[in-house]
Amino acid sequence: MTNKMSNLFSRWNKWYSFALVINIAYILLFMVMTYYYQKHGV
Amino acid sequence: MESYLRGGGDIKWWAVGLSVMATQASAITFMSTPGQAFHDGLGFIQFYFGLPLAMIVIAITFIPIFHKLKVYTAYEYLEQRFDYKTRGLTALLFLIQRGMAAGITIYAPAIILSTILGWDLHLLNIMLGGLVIMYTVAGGTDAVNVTQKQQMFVIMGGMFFTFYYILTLFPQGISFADAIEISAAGDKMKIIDYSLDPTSRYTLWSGLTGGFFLALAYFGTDQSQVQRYLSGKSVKISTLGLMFNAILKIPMQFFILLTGLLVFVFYQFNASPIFFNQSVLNKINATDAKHEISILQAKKDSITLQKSTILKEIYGENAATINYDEKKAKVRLLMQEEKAIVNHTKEYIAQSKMVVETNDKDYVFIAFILKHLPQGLIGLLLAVIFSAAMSSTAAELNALASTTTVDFYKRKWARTKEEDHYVKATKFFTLIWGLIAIAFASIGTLFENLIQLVNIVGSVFYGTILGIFLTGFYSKNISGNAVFVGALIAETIVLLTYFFTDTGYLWLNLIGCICVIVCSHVLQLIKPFEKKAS
Repeated sequence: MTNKMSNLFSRWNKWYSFALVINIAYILLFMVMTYYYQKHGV
Repeated sequence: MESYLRGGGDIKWWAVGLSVMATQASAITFMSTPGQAFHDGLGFIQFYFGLPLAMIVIAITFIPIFHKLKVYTAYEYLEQRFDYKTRGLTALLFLIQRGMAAGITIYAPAIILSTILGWDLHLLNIMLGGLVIMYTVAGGTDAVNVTQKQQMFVIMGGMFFTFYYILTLFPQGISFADAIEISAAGDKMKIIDYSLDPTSRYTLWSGLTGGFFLALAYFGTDQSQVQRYLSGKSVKISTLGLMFNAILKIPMQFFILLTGLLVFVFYQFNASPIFFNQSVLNKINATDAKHEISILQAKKDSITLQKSTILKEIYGENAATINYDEKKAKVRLLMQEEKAIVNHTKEYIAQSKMVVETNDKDYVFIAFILKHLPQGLIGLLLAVIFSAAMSSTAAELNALASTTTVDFYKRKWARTKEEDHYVKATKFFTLIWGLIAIAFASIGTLFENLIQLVNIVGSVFYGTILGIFLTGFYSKNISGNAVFVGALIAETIVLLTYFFTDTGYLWLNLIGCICVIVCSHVLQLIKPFEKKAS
């Protein structure tokens, strides 16, 4: 199991980091939008 | 056989990505999602938050193994890792679940189009199903990939045109930013829900956990998806195809939800039907309830008129700034009143006992399209719906036929035939599964909540299937017997949980998966299973 898990991280590449960062950015943007429109809606 | 099942062409990574997207996005996605935003806002996007991480896990774990073993179906791996009975059980669970879903993929848009346009339901089923059968039988995986690429261009092109056109329908002076602000007044901009309440369907936490397991099960073990990314000729192409999906899936769904939000804003300035499923409304109007419904409609129209006037005063080209806060408060109040009238109408319809389904969200977008868009755009949008229905159905039939041939026919009944024989067999099974899907779609009206039923059936099986695969990938000491019995126990627990508790069905994926992993590890400790460990 541990071996497999370490394989998982050894196969990590820049595309996975890129996808992860982009998606974290989406979620953060949605959090900001939710906060902003709760404060500044009609 | 290689080119018929895996695709013979030199498919590019972005085409793999488009194909994966087109398989997941069925017609109901484009008809129902804008309606979801119209009624409940953008919170539905949270459902997709776990998907990107699932894509990465599949790219790292599943794809290299599938490519290394040169499998045609995901279930072949299970025989190499465990034994035939585990492979057979998993493939069978897939055939049951996906066979039903293929019928729904045809039935769901057909029932809505037949209701709205008055076209014959059976004719629509046969037309949609027949077309898909023809090209999927003739061209196999290549035909599915090529058509999906074109269908996705039609789908996204149609949605972009519609989005832009709705913006032009707003009164003078109302910009996109204003529209978003107006929708916030109707509580549509609550995108993130931090609630820990397990009965809330879409929250940040259920999206990240339940959504992750659902996406892992669907993309990692459902042959209709596995076949799409295995058509990439190398690990790199398949992986990049999934990353394409991981990066673009959330924006794509968000864009479709935003389209629904624009429809909501449009109806703040224009009268909207009190209930969007016109055929249900016609039935109700044929009874004594007609008077009550017309009173409610008149009240709603009056509120819309008041809202429209105030919103134009706030945002229109001659916007007045006097009593700004007071006007905003008034708009909020009117929106709440309108919501109360709509809810009252739904309760009233439910009480009539003439119809079971009081949810009209599937009808919001199509009703808007037909009433307010120009004829050319209506044609394009109908092409979008047909394209989406065909792209999902083709992938499903392709996968069902491949699994029937590779995991049962070739493996059990005809092991030593020529390659050409298996291609013919796959074509035959594609035809048979297509006919089953059309037949299932044709009797769809017999079941009241068929779409939900299929989603539940999916969740009931997906967790167990995912648990079997994860045990295979990550626990090398578990034997076939242990995982097989573990899967049967897990499936029983899932069924008991579903029938005897109120647990939301999305959580069944997680329960099934964990039960298989835990049960197979416990069983492996018991003596009869010990020797068989691989």
